[in-house]
Amino acid sequence: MGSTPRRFGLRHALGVLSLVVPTAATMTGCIGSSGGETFDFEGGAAGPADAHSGAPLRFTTPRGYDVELTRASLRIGAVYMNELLPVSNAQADSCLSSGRYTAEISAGLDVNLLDERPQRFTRRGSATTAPARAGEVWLTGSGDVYDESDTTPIFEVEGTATRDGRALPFKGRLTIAENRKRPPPSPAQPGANPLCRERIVAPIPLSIAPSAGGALLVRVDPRRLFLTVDFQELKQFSKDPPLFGFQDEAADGPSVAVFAALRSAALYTFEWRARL
Amino acid sequence: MCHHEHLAPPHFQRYLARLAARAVAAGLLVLLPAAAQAQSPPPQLVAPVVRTHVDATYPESAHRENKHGDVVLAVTVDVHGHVSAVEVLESAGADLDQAAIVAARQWTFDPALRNGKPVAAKIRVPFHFSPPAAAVEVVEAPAPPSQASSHAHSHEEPKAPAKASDEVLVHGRPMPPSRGASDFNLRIGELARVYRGNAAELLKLAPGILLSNEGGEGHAQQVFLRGFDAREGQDIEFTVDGVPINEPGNIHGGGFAETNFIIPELVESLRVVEGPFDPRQGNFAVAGSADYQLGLQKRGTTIGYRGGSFNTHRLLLLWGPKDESVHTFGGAELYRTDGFGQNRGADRATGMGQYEGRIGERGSYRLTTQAYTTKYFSAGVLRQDDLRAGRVDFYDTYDPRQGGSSSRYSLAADIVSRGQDTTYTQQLFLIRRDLRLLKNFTGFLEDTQEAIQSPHGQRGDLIDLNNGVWTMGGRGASRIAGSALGHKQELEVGYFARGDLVDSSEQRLEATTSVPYKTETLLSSKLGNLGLYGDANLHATRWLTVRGGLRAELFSFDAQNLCAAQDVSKPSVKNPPGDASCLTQSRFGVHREANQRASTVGTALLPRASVLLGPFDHFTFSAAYGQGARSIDPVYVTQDVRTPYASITSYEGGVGYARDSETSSLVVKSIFFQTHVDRDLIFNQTAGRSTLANGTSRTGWAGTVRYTGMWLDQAASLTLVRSSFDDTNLLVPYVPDLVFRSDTALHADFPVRIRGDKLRGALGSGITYVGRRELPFSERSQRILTVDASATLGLGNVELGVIASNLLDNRYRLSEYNYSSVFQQGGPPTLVASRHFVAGAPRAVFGTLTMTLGGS
Repeated sequence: MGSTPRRFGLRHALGVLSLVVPTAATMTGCIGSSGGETFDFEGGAAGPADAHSGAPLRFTTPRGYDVELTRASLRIGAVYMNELLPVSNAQADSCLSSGRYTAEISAGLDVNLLDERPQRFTRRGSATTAPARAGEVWLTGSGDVYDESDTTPIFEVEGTATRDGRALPFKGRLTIAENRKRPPPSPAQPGANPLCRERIVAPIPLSIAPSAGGALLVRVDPRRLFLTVDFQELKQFSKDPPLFGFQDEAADGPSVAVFAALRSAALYTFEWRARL
Repeated sequence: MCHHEHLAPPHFQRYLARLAARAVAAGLLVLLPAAAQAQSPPPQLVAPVVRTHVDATYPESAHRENKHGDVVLAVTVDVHGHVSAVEVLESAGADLDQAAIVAARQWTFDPALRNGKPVAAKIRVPFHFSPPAAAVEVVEAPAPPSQASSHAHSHEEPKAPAKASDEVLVHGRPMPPSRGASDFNLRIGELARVYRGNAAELLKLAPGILLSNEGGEGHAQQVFLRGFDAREGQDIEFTVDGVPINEPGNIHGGGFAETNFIIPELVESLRVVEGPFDPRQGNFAVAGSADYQLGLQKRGTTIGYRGGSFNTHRLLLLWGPKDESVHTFGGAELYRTDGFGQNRGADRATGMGQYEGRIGERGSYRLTTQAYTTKYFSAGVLRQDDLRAGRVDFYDTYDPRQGGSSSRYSLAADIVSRGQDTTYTQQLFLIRRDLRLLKNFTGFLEDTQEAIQSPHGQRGDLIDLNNGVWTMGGRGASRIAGSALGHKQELEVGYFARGDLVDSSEQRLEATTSVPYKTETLLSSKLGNLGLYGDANLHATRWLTVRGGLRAELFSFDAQNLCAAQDVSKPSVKNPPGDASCLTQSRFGVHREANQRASTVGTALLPRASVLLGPFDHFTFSAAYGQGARSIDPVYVTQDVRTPYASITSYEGGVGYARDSETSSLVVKSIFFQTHVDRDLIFNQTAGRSTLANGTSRTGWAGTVRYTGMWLDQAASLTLVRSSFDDTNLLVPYVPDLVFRSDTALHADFPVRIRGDKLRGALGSGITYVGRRELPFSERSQRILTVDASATLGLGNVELGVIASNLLDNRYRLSEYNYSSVFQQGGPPTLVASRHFVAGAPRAVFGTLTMTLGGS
C-alpha cells in the first residue's frame, strides 16, 4: 500500500453487496417453530348428557334406592390437563403432577349437575397443543388447595331416596377442609396425606389433543356419587317434615361414600369439542 | 497480518518512574493514584508522536523470493515533525531496506518536546516484511490511518518519550494468527465513543451478539451468539489477556463468566473468534471465544464522572504513566444507581492495575492485579397476563429480595521472551471469585410436599445460589519460526492448566422470612482442566496459508455432594428425619452419611484447521473446521462414569474484502457457518439454571463491515441463523435468528481555537435490532430496537458530554420466556406455560465530564 489516497469505488461496493444480498435472502427463508402452539379456549361443565335442563334426575342405585335429585351442585375450583398419566405412586404426596400441564381453566364454577347444557367458566382457559393424557379437577372454593380453613361448600344436594316404599327426603352439603384431613400413616411421615390430595381429583385418564378453536367440556354424572350410599344411614335432621341429611364429617358413613365418589376419576368425563 | 506491538519503557527511564509504575502491579496504584503519581514527577522529555503513518510496500523483487525480513531504522524527527534523516540500523536486504526508508520518510510526527519546546529527536522504527498472503487476510477493525496495516508495516507507533537524539526501543507481543473470516480482532478505537454500560457490551462489535440480563446490573450478561444461548458464558470462552473468566462448576451454570470487573475504558481491543477454530481455545469455546486485551492509550491521569437518570453516578479514575507502555496503567471505578423501575439499584467498585516491563531487548513481562465487588438488586421476570390485567407495571418486580452480590480478586503475571526464531510465553494466574444470586422465576410453584416433611403449603421459590471458587493455573507456549518451501513457517506448542476449588450451594428461601427452608444442592468440588495443543502456521504458496492443529483436553472432577440424600421413603419411626434437607438415613432408618463423593475424568481430542486463500488483491477466502468441548457441571458427575462433555463441531466458509488507503480503511466479510452440539444446555426456569438437553445444530450467515476514515468510524453487522434440535428439527427457543448492530463514531476538530487549544467534537451512536425470538410452543418474542447516542465537546484536557441510552424510549423486553409460574397467590395457580418477560431499560440521560492531567 502506497501513500496515494484511494477512494472506494462503486465497483467495489457492488462487489460487496453481491456477497451480502444473496446470502441474506437465502437465510431469511429459514423459518420454523419450536413446535406446538398456545391458545385460549372456552370451557364449561355440565351434568350428564341425559339430564333435562334442570328437571329432577331420577335413577336407581345398586343398593336398590330409587333416587330423585332435585338439586345437585358441584363447586369446581379449577380444571387442568397434563401430558403425563402417572403409572406409579412415586409422587403420592405431591399436589402437582410431575408432567407438563397442557391446559387449564383456573376459574371457579358452581355446576348444576341436573343440567345437561354446558355452563361456562367465568374465565377462558389456556392450553397448548401438546396431547393430554390426564385430567385434574380441583375441588376448592378459594383456589388454594392447602387452605384448611376454606369451608366453601363443594357439593350440595337435595332429593328423595325411596326403597321398599319408604321415602327418605334428604339434603347435604359437603366441604373439604380440616374435616377431610387424613392422619398420616406414620408419625415419621407427617406430610404423607396433605389436604391438597383431598381436594385434587387426579389423575383422570383421558386422551385429548387440544386445538385452537375448540372447547373443553367436563361432564359430571351425579348418579355415580350415590352408588354405595345407604340412605338408611342418613341422620334424621327433622321429623316433621321428615328430612334426612349427609353430615359434613369424616365419621358419617353416607358422607364418606359421597366424598369418596367425588374423588373418583370415574365421576368426571373430559370432552374436547368444536364448540361449547 | 497485523501485529499490534507495544511500547516498553526506554532504558533511560528514571528510577522513580519505574518505581511508581511497579506500584501499579502491586495494586497500590489503583488505590492511591495521587500518592503514586507523587513518586513519578512528569518527565521533561516527550517523545515524538506519530501523526500520519504510511506502511511500506512489499517490493516486487521480494515477491519472487517470498522474503520475510525485519528492517530497523533510526529516524530523525525535526522540530517541525518531519523526518529529516533515516539510517538503517538492521538490514534485511537492499530492496526491503529501501521500501522501509521510502515509507518512513513519509511519516509525520508531533515533534519531541523538551520542557514543552520542540526539539529534534531520533527514534528507532522497525519494519516487518512478510509476503502478501498473510497480509491480505482480513484484519478486523483496522487500525486508524496512522496505524494502517499493509503487506509490510511498522510494529508500532513510537509514543514513549524520547530524549532528544536518543533511541526509542520498541517491543511488542505477537497476536495469534487469524483463523479466517470468523476471527475478529476488534480494535475499539474511536468506537469507544459509543455508549456502553459495561465491558460486556464491547462484544457487540462482533457480529451476531445479543446481550441480555434478567439478573440486574451486577449480574453477568447473558450472551447470545450465532444461534447459541450462551447464557452467562457457558458457550463462550472468556479471557482477559489470557486469564480465564469462565467458572467451571458454577452452581448457576458451568462456565458462568462475569465481565463486570473489567473497566471498559481499559479495553484496548477484543479478539472474538466465533467458533472453535483456534487450538488455543479451551473449555467453553462452543460458540466461540472472547479475549479482552487491556491497554490505556490516553496517558496521564484521567478523572471522569458520569451522572444522570435514576440517581446514577459513576466516578472513574485512570492513570497511565506517560513514560511507560500503554499496557502499564491503573484504573478505578465507583458506581451506584437506584436503577429504573422497582428494585434495580446497584453499587460497585472496581480497581485494575497492570505494569509492563522489559526483559532485555526482545522480551517483556506484565503483572496485573484486579479487585471488584458489587451488591445489586434485580427485578426479575413479570408475567404478561399480570401486566395486561394491570396487576403489575412494566418496570415492577414480584419479589424485591432478588439480586445478589459478587466479587473477584485476581493476580496474574506473564512473560514473553523472544529468541532468534522462537517466542516463549508463560502466564500464571490466581483468582478468587464469590457470587451470590437470589432469583425467583416461578413464585410459589416448586415447593413439593414430601412425606417426611411437616405439612406445608407453598413457601416460596426464591433461589439462593452461592458459589465461591479459588482458581489457579497457567498457560504457556513456544512458537518456532523457520523457513521451508521458500516461505516462513511457524509451529507453536502450548499448554493450559487450571485447578478450581469450588464450594457451591442452592437453597430455597421462605417468602415472608427469607429463612432457608430447603437445601437443593450443597457441593464441594475439585475441578481440573489440562489442555495441550499444537498449532502450525504454514505458507504453502504466496497466497495459500494453512493453519491449525490439535488440542487435547482433560477434565477431572472430584465432587463431594454434601447433601446426597434428600428423601427417604421409609424413615425411622423412632428417629424421623423431619424437615431436614440433607439426610443421614437410608430406608428403614439405616444410618448413612449425608455426603457422597464422585470422581471421574473425561478427555477430548479436538482437531482444528483453517485455510486462507488470497490469490486476488484485497480478497481473502477462508474455510475453517473445528471441534470444541465444554465440561459438564459437577452436579451431573457419576462415580467412575467417564465424564460426558458436550462436543461441538463447527464449519465455516467466508470471504473478506479489505482495503486501505492513506486516510481510510474498509473491511467487509461474508460468512456462512454451521455448528453442531451433541449435548446442549437449555435454560430451565424451575431449576434457575441451564440443564442438559438433546443435540442441536445451527446454520447461518453473518456479514460485517468496518469503515475507518479521518472523521468516521463505522461498524455494522447482520447475522441470520437457524438453530434447531437434531431429533425433532424444531427451533431452539430463546435464541435470536436475526441480529443487527451498528456502531458509529463521528469525530472532528473544529476550526476554532480557544487559548490555543482546538475545539473537538464527537458523536456516537449504537443501534441494536433483534428480530422476534422463538419461544416454547411457537410463541415469538417482541422485536428489540434500541438506539444509544452520545455527544462530546473537548477543549484541551477537558471533555464534556451527554449520553442518551435508549434514545427512542422504546418499551422493550430484554428477555422473554414461556413457562409456568404462580406469582399471584389466593386463587388457582396457572400451570400452563405463560409469557414472561424482563423489562429493558427506558431512556436514560447522563452527563459526562472527563479531565486528563499530565497526559500526552
